[in-house]
Amino acid sequence: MPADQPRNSLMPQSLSQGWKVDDARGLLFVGGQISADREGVVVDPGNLQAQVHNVFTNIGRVLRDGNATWSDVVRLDAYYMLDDDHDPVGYWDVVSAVSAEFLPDPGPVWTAVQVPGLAYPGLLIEIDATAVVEG
Amino acid sequence: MSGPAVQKKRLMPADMPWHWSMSVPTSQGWRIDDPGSLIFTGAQFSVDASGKTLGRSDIEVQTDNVFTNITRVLREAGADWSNVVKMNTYYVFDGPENDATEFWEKMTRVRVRFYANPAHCGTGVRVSGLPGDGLLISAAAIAVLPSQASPQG
Repeated sequence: MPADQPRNSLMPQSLSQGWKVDDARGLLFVGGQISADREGVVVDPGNLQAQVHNVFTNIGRVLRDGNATWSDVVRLDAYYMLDDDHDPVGYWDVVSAVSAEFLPDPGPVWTAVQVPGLAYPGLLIEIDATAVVEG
Repeated sequence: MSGPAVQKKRLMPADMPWHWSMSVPTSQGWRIDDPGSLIFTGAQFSVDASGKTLGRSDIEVQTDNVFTNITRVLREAGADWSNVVKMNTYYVFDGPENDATEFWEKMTRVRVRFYANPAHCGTGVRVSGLPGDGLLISAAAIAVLPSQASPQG
């Protein structure tokens, strides 16, 4: 966390600017998680808070099955669609508040990329994760 | 390919509430322990050697070319699709939103022809453009190989 690094106040305040992991034993990749059911039908369409919660819960399930925890996550990549209900500030207030229920502080590095859409109509956000388990 | 098995565990949580809209061998995650070699392919495009777009406005032709090109990079590293653990696909779709799923499935039917079973985990990202005239898809992969120095198993 370089002391002289400017930061984006929109993004979750627990985010880190970088992580160096020594003695990495395990690498864990979590595919892009979305808010959908077992037929690929979007769950909570148009409800950003619920979708973010579902996405983080799903990432947590994959971490758990890989014997990892949120503390092992070094990077989150978020792909998000702005909806009619939120300006960018309001949108990221929601994402930050929900993510704080899951992420340790300090948390992972983030990238966030606004996209014109996602795989299925009604999805507002997709997030994938990379974790490193130390030996 | 012979060689020691990579310490890889496929992650498919039994309580995961979602699946894709069609049958795919894609995974929700992978854990890799003590990886030997890591392979990162660059983003591949449907272009010829002079950079000219191949299969303009044809997502199936472009997807086939992109994934064939990834196969070539993997092969150069002594790897194949069974070694891939994560990939990102970036695609352009600017039709009616209600047709988005159909487009994704059309593209995905071509993608899964290349996948191992079970396959890597992945992220699909719809984007508003790609660096080339008429390009509709780009993708890049991360693969793991056992160490060359490992004893044959």
